[in-house]
Amino acid sequence: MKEWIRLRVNGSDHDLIVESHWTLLDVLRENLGLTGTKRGCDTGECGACTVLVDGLPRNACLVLARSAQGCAITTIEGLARGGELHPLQLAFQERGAVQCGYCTPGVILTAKALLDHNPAPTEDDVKAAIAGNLCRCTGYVKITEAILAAAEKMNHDGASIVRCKATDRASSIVARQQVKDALSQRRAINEHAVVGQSLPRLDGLLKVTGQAQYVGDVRLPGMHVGKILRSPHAHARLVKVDISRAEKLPGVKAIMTGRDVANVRYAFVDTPRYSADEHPLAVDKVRYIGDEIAAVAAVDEETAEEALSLIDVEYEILPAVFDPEKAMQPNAPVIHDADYEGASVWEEWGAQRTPTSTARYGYNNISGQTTVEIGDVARGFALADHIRTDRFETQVTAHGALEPHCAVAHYEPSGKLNVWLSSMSVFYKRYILAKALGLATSQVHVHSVYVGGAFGGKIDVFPYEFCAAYLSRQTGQPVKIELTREEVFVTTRQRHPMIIELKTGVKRDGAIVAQKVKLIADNGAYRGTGPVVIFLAHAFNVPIYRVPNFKYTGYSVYTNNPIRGPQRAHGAPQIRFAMDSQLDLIARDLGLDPVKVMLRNAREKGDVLPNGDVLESCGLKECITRAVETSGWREKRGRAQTGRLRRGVGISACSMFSGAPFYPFASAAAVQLHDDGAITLFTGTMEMGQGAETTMAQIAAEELGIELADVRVIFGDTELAPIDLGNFLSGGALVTGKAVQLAAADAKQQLFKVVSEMLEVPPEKLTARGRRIFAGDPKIGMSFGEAVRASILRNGGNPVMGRGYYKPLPDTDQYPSLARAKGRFTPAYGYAAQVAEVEVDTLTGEVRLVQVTTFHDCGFPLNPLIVEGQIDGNVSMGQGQALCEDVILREGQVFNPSFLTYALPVSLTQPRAARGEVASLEPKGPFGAKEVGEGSIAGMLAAIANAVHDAVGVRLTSLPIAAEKILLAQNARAG
Amino acid sequence: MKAFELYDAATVQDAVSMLSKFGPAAKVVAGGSDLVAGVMKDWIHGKGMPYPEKLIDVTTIPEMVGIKLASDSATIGAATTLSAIAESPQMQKGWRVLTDSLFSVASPEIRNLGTLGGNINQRPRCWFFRGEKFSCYKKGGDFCFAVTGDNRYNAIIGGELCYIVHPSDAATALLALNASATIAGTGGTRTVQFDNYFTGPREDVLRENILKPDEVMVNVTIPRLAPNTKTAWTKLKFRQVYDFALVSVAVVATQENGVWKDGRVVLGGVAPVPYRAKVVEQALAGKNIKENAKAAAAAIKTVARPMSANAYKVDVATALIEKTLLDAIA
Ligand SMILES: Cc1cc2nc3c(=O)[nH]c(=O)nc-3n(C[C@H](O)[C@H](O)[C@H](O)COP(=O)(O)OP(=O)(O)OC[C@H]3O[C@@H](n4cnc5c(N)ncnc54)[C@H](O)[C@@H]3O)c2cc1C
Ligand code: SF4
Ligand code: FES
Ligand code: FES
Repeated sequence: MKEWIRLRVNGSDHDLIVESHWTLLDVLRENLGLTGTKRGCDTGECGACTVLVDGLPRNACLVLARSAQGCAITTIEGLARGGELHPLQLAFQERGAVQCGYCTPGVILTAKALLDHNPAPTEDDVKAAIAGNLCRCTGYVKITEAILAAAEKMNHDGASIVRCKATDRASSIVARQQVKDALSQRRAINEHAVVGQSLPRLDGLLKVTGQAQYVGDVRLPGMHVGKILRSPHAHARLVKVDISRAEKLPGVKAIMTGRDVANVRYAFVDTPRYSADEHPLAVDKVRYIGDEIAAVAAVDEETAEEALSLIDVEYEILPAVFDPEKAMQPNAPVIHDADYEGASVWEEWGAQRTPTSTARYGYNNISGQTTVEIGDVARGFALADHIRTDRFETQVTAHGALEPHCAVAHYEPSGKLNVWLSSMSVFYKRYILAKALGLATSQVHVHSVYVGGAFGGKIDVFPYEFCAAYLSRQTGQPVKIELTREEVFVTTRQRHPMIIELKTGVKRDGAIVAQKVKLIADNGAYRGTGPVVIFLAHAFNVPIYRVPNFKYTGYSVYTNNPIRGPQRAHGAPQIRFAMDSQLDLIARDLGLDPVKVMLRNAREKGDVLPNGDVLESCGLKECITRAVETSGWREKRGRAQTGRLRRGVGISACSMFSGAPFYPFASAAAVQLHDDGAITLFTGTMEMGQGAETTMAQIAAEELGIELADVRVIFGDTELAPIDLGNFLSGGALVTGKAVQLAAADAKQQLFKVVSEMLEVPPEKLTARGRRIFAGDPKIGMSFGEAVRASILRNGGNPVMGRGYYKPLPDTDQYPSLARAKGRFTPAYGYAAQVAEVEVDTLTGEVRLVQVTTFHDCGFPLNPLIVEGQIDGNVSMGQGQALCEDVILREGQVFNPSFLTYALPVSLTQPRAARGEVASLEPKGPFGAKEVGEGSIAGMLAAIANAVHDAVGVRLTSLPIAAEKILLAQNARAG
Repeated sequence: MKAFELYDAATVQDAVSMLSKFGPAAKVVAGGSDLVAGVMKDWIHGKGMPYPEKLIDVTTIPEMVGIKLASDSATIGAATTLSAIAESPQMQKGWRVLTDSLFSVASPEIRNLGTLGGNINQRPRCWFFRGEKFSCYKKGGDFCFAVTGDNRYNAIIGGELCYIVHPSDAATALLALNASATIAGTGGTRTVQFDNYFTGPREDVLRENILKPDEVMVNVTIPRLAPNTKTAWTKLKFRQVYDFALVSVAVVATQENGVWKDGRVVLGGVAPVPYRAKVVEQALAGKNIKENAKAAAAAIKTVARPMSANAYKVDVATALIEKTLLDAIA
């Protein structure tokens, strides 16, 4: 029913024609163009769409537009007054409370309503107020701090100074003190002006005002809406896909089915050994519930949806298998019947196809195998004083990025394809998309947008992206496909659940002499990153302990479950959970302190790993000892307790690559110097919340001796920026960072040449600092801008452009072998150690995470504020995955594909965070920097499991550590 | 979402007459957080559950919004938002178990929108019911998928044919408080005790209460507590926000020197209706609460009939009953 309504938004009246069923969110975004209000779920379960209705926060996705008449509506766009930002907006920007920014407008508005009603809130008040606003990136620590800081500032600036209630703030003060200690230590080693400083993010202001543009915000004239038809069956042959009824529906512009693209095949893994096994749309079979069958482009969403319901599909149901151990059995249904043949997409880069067959594995449905043997395990176990064998199981988890995946594609008549994608590497997506569409790589232009969180879930090229491009080619119009939250949960990859059988032999003092690992990863219906995750589980584990005799067999297995893919620290959380849980048990068996056992086995600087990687920096032991000291481990471990609430502590460690050699094998960067002394930095890296835009600008500014404010960054665009590895395997800081540093250094050298001629001093005597270039005394020299202008005038117009590039492991031109784990993996490893303190309610089994102490070796913190934010995010995600996150699957059906039923951590469960850094100064990294974004999730799981054991004597070897499991274990023990 | 028509009702009478005029495809809507965002956006419908074509907004009826306090009771308009009730100092003072239960509902944003009537009358969360693909008894189909499927969150008491648990936290607290509802329909207005308001699947699998299609819940009346009455609320869930109760317990205990005189122990999350645990109440009658809490709580095991994957809920319920009893007298 269409009717006129009048909405009062941000103080102005708007008369609009709306349908009864349009929500306020629809109307704000689509009719009024106020895209600062974000859509995270559309069902009231995330808070991203929060707006103020008569001063109270409400979910715009739940409010019918028509029912909002007569109310005063405030969106993020209405918060700044007369060009002046609200103190909350400033505090969020200054205090690092913004990462990807997708949750930010909603949280800020919720906080505004709180401060309007309660100008002096306690920390607990803040946490309660923002409890409905999910944030996957920050772990809420900095958000809470920013809101309290804004309250304090507003009270100071206001007429009456209301003092903040101090009651519940002691806890955060402890944590802050620890941060301060770490800061002063850091300052001691930092002789730099821009890097190493906690500077506010460059993208912060765009994000706190709702102006940052994400894919879903892109609007092009004549844009059609695309939708995808998905399989309701886990395994079935497609007998018939009939689109004749759907085609006739008015408003339908194009329909595509598997038959149209039967010859298109691609995959994340497409190596000589493992052929690509995915089609954009199912051709002959569907292999999981959610598998893509057809795609429709139509004038609007309702029409597209209706068209899907008019497509007639006939299935022949096939037997399906969901348990990887069963799938490996000889009589199991075979999910991929034949091997795929044809060229590898990497052939141009030297990959040769050698046909393989799954039969040789000796099991059914194997999609990948990794075998590693070091030393002689049989001999090793013979030497052991104590041997333990345990089986660990990890669950399926979701990335939970607040921005749902979205693609906009626009084919130009010239044959050029423009796309806007939720991605983590624009160059990787460009390559795969171009190959799949039969275009030249350079015909595809991936445009720059902000990404609302990714955590590994936006790496792969997905069918919806291909379909958007294909449908745009068919219709000649732009096409947008935005996935629903349910589609995101089911079809955009999940973390591999693993079964890990672990046998470890130790000497009496805890020294590991032998270890045997059998690992099974369920990779779902398509190979996804199966062969990669079983390789990485080994590769992220091997840099931690010295194990002289070691045998590792990892299998990735096809099942009819949803596809699994990369997720933060890809493979590490699972194996680290098993390893450090078992080490804790071993320490208990032997009556030793687990910290001693860890230190007894921990690797050190200078160690050479079995594959040849050299640990040129390694702060592992220091991370462990500092985390133990700071957390109060000694007083807290093994407390005798009798009350209902019991506390315990546990520890674990983890490590992570800093980039690896994969397409496009290198990162490049460029800087252009402007005649006013500012520069533009061109980098292909992505900004998905991790702060790359800012840290890369800091590196360039430091190298050139200018300020962060002088740098403008063009990022994440395949035409405007040079190639870049993108943001997986944590190469951002080291690889892209190095390229940026070299680009800036190149420009500096050119500029120094000009200045040296003018000042008549040799270039090596020159320094660039504080926006000046000078010889010895800053007064003897000139400003940066003057130097650039001089260069133009004296050098035939050359304004100076600098170029830099960096290839991780420059001497290797090969991927490491996934099957044998041979060949170099990465230039450097980041490390972390974490102590978790929990409180268990013995009556209900509930676990409260009290405090997490993380010490991280990221080489050198380029921006401590951002590094802290990354650690907080890892802690929060680790907390969720240890305690409450679990994708529930039965016969391939996901039963909880929503933020309501899949429990991401919320503000109320946020633990106290103490964090510190160990600056090991990696020689290859820019200013000594290496990985920080991923690793420290992996230590959380065992740390929490061990802490629960310490508290109540219950050992859980399967995740998550849910209340009912503890309760049942306790009750079973009590008899 | 499929299109529908939306009408504002000006009075209760207005709403009732529209309902009877439009017939079964018309539904009352308040905040819409369950009906529109939960049921209609996900297109949950079936033979016994037609997709609503006409919605009648009752938040526009002044008499249905607000709290009226009397010497012996409070009367709350059914279209009052959950946060307006939870944040009312008088309600917190007089009926803490209700305000605590409301603070445990959903999120602050949803509580600013969702209403008491909507909360009490919301549809169940059984994931088969909420899944578009499953045509189960409750939607007019001929199967209960929970019997053979993953039933970890389903009922452990009183299931039959259908094994939902009642989703409303407010309902659990209101039953413990011995509250009643005023209902208006074409035939006039009636008052129903919550004891008699909720109905199990045996009576009618297509609904969860006695409300007829042309009826509107106008308000809820809660008597003041007897002297020496202690109350407590517990809800177990993964996080402290959003999640529906795995198990919840409301205790209203009138005591004398620690001895149970009268009261109610009501459980949410265990049965198709808010479940009054009379076995527990009986086990406490005339006894010292503190000393007998554990044994009384264990009495719930005698009435529980768990399904294949939810026996753990019996342990959880037992633990929570004990905890809530102890909290009440603490
Ligand atoms: C993410 C999420 C989390 C949630 N968590 C919880 C939770 O933890 N605990 C909990 O108890 N609830 C929870 N809920 C449910 C929520 O509390 C309800 O959706 C809300 O209270 C319903 O109120 P409403 O006014 O929006 O109802 P509506 O959606 O408008 O209506 C709900 C139903 O009640 C009927 N109805 C409404 N008012 C009346 C009336 N006056 N007379 C007759 N019938 C009426 C409608 O016809 C409809 O069938 C959650 C909901 C969401 C979306
Ligand atoms: S328990 Fe009820 S709602 Fe759930 S599947 Fe069975 S019949 Fe349907
Ligand atoms: S989009 Fe509205 S709450 Fe998630
Ligand atoms: S910053 Fe909160 S979700 Fe990314």
